Amino acid sequence: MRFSVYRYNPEVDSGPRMQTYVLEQVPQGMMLLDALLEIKAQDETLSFRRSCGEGVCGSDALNINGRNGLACITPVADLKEPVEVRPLPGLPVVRDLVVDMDKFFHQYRAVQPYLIVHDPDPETERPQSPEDRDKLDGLYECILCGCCSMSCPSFWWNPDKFRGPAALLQAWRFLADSRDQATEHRLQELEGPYRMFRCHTIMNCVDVCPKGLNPTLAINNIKKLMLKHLV
Amino acid sequence: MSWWATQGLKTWVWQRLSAVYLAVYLVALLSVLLRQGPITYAQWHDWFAQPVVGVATAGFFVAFAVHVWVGIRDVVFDYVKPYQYRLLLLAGVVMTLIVMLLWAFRILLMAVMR
Repeated sequence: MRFSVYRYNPEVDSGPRMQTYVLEQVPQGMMLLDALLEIKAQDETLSFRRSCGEGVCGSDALNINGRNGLACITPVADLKEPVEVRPLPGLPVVRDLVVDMDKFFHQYRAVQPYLIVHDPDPETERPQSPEDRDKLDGLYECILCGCCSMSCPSFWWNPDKFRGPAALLQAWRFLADSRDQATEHRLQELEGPYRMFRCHTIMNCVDVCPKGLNPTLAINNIKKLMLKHLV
Repeated sequence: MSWWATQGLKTWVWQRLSAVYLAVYLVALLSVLLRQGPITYAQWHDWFAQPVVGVATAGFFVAFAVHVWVGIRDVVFDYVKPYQYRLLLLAGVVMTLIVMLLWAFRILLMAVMR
């Protein structure tokens, strides 16, 4: 099976190039991450991130045949040859398939992805009804792989100002949480022409999310809540 | 909160409200035209000379200008980074829309007054 892999070492190369690799043996059920590990055994200069290998940690998000996804849960049998493997688009390349995720995590931190509670700390836990807990389904599962934000044209054009789908999904996750007490503050933080309203409902984020989450719906829910607070 | 920081939700609402008005007006106009069949210039003129139609049509052009403004502003915000070009483009859009609106109002006013 043939693979065309993006190679770029800014310290040595004048520009990026695509390098072809061939794997003679492709066992049934092989995932792209396994293939990349075999390629790395051939050429140890190839760099990429990986960790859990089971679609949980989100560290091996790549652009695979033009579509963002996790290498560890992408079967190579489903991919058209030659398999083009590139780094996530829209972020600076550190080396080969490794990108600098600083802007992505800056936007994530900016939505304050934690409970903000003004009441005094309770003696025990902060209880939540099963119904309220259900509202967080489809939100808390995000693994921050970046597939969504790095497939969003609005994030490509304004990564320093637009929060991006991943961060906005988390913003809604805490707005929807019955225990959070900073609704007004969170909504004010998302106001303005850039932070949330750069979303043009392109829905690439929904299309590529490896966990099947829906950031566009979360963004629409934030807009509806803002509207409710306006009128 | 500064004025600028509040221009997310409000412009988004204006864009949607103007879209609804444009859709309602166009459907109403088309249904009237289709029901009446082929009409002469005089009939067309008389129809627009009615104050209600004139006001509704003026509303259409206002909604159109608002919708275009928000849409083009979004495109400029996305793609035009240099501050000077952005300012120039947005000023050009505002001027064009104002001229277009005044021109449309003049035509509608002349139709009603005649």
